[in-house]
Amino acid sequence: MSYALTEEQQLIQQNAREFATEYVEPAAAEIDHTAAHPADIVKKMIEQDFLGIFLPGEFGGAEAGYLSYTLIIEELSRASGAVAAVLLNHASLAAYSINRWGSAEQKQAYLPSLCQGEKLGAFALNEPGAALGAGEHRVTAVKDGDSYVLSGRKCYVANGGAAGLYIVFAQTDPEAGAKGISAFLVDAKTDGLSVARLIDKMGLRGCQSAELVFDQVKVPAANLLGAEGAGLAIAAEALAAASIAEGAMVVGIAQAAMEDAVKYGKQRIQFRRPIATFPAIQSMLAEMAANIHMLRLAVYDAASLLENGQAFVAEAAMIKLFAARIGQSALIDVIQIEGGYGYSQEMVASRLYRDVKGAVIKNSSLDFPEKIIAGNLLA
Amino acid sequence: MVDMSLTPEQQKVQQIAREFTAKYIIPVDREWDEKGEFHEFILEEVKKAGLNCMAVPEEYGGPGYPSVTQSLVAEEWGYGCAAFATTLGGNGLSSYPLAIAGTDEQKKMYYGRLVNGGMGGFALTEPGAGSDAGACSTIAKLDGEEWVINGTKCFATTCGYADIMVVFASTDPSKGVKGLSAFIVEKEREGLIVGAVEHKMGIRSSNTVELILKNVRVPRAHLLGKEGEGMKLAMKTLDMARPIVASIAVGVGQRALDEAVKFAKEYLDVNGKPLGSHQAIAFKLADMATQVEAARQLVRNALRLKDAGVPYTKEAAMAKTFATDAAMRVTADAVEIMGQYGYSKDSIVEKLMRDAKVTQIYEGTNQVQRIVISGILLNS
Amino acid sequence: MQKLLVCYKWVLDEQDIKIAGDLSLDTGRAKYKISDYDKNAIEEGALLAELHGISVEALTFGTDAVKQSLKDALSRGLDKVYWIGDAASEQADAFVTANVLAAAIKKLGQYDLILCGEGSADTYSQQTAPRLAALLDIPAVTFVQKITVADGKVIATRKLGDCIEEVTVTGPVVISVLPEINKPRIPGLKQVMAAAKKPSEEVKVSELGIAAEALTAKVRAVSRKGYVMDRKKVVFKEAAQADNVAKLVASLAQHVLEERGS
Repeated sequence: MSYALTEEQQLIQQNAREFATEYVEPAAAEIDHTAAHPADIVKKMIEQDFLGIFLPGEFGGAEAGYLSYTLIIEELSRASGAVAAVLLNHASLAAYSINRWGSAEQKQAYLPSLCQGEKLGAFALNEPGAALGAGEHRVTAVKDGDSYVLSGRKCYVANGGAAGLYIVFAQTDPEAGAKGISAFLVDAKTDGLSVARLIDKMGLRGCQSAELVFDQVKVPAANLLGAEGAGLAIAAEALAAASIAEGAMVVGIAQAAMEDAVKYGKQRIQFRRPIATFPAIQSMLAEMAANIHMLRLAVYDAASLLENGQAFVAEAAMIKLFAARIGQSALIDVIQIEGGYGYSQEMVASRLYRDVKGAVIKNSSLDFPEKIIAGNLLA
Repeated sequence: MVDMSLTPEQQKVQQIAREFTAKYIIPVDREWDEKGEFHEFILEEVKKAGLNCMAVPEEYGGPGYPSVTQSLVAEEWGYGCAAFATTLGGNGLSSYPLAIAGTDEQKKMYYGRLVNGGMGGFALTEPGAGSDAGACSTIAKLDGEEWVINGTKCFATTCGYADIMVVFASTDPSKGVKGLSAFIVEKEREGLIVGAVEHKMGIRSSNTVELILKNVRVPRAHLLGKEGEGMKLAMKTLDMARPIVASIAVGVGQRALDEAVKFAKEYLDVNGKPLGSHQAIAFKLADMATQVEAARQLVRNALRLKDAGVPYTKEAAMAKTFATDAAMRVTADAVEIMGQYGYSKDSIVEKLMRDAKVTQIYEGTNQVQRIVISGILLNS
Repeated sequence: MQKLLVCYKWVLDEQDIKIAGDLSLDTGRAKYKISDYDKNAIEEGALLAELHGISVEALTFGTDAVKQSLKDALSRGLDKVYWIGDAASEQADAFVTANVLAAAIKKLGQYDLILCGEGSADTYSQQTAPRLAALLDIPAVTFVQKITVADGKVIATRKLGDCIEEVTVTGPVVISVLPEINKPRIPGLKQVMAAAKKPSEEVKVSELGIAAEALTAKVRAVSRKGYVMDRKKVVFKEAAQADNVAKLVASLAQHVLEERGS
């Protein structure tokens, strides 16, 4: 890899690896088993200034840049995709959105507590049974004086139940369809907002997923993020920023899986030789090594674009598209290499298999990477 | 929808299996997966439906279904739950050695126990003998009129509660692969110890255990076939079992496809249109359906050759490889199409994706299958 | 107690070093790191500085490569780093290193407490700290696992082979620390980002007035080979497992006797 990381980025990467090895790896299996929000690890991440990595110093952020952030996500993902997912949803979705579209008052009101980890952030986007704004449980926001009243349900809210602040996407204009969605900053403790249930998932189990009920939740008008009707555009860009980090997650998970398969292949003897000497195994490893390498470079590049204020949405979509494909195939092959042993719940590979899929899951039907890329080409 | 390629008799059996699955398996597939348990009362119901030990010939009390018919049932079970299908399929797998090399006495003994509702087990794999099945270190020594067997088997399907099993052991280690032999061992034999239970990522309610044999004694007559013919027997058995395993994979793929299609019809996008109206989704479903159908036909083809008494090893290996690879792809695609819902345990497809993975590994990894296929291609 | 100084070494990370078939070392892919016990020394300096509100600086002697160590060191709670990058360090032994460090310290000013790691991760000669103290004409306290500063005195706890010894020192002192003394914190992002703004200063060997003999190592490395432990690969294959166990026990017992040299 000749991609030139700055000295700071190298140190950050090194430190993140040490952190992940020291604190996250030993807890990863238990986190997956209990599916409980890893509060202890979040506390430690706060001490490392991980909660405000790319946010401005004036709000308590570390101003280390988006690329440093993806380096950290990659290192965390090697140890636990769930822990990385907790950070990703907080940073790329919630914190990013407020920093990008928040008014000066909103930034002052919310960013410091997000940076210091007093509050964990989350996006409340998906709704039960249908895409945003289309289903019977959609969250509507009705203007009432200088407040909005939110009613409806959200589901598959990552960090749901653990978050202190939700960015809720609600329908302010039923006639306008997709253009009638607005974003609101909603404190988790607001009256009427409750967790209906926690949802079990295939993987990334430590990143809590919840169904939320909004029962006449009163939100000050000042908490409208951006303009009325800008909700979908906000979600689209934030999801793009998240896609870059999701790419880093896949790199981390797949890298850890590949290293595990290499280790296994060297010491598993069948037909009187280590199975790593068989061409079939080697070509699987070669394929995944190449894919991971390409994806990593794409992540660094897109992160740099974002960091430098350049257009990045098309590149982010490419990452989403590519990461889904290669993350999947890498883990299918890793378990294939490790055979019956890899399939066991006791081995790390089976958790990585379950986790990698969660790193690239689409959010409602907003995520159509092909459309975004093609749209960019044909513009 | 009527499958015109099936006989009326086959359609009838398929219908019985389909109803059985809908009534008994699908309602509890989630629960079994979570608990990693299999409810044995199901066997009574399976017997009543006439689907127990389908491979047992009529003269020994079984339904004696032709191979294609068996695969129809296996596919329906796979549709319901791959773990259940694997367990019941294990009855078949473990009884095939009897069909290939069993004497009348041995068949009566083995088939008898299965037909009465017992489970069969097949113990070939060892910690040091996976794809390299010949590297077996379990030893069988003749002591008077008894064989004394010592060793450890692993990843033995259903052997935790099988009534009777086929166990492979070496009767002459100096001969390597050519020293392998097969034995019938009943669960009540002293020294047969069920060891650690495997906690698996998928097919969780299928019992997978370590089997320890400590001076297990079986009568001389429990040797299946001739000494040293164990490997040949194992290979022929796997040949017979592969299309069935492939059928299970077809069932898994079909289930994933059906779930994804239902989702695409019902889930509305941000503009209130069904997800399936997006061409990318629609085309993906088309590809998935094509894969499942192609897999199904490859299986049927292999089994028609078998039932006609014609060599079918290559076709069986192709069917197994294609169907299981297809199941893997289709289940992963289903989760992707169904997004957050598909990834959560609210939907069955995440289980399907976990279950599908093992089908690429067991009954001979898909790499071994390719060795079989290419071997036949290049050596003919 | 006003000023602390930590001396650290920038060494090749042994994890990256590969041993070739002929036991030669392949350092081609090896990255550098702050020597392990020196990290403990830096951490101890940072902790004491934080606790007592005093300053802590660092000094390092190595090849030009040490420039890469500055941000790393500065992110660990140090106020300033002095660095000496000179070809002389390539063949330097503890004698040379101590001479260079002592000369630099004499030029930089008075330090109340100088911390070092007990030994470096690469050569582990354990001589630098005592030599340095002798050259500066101050006491050296080695094998230290705990330091307390009170009433202007330094109280050091030493972990020795057969006892724990507590030593009190008044006045400047060189202390070499064991890894037991602390667990170095992983620098936070803000500390890493702030390192660029902290001062670092080059000190040139040529400006230290060191005699040529003092820069010539007394210990010369003749060869460097990797150490590989060969597996004995003894297999016990008796028919009865009990016999195998008996043989294994006998073999282990024999081995223990051999190790003890009886």
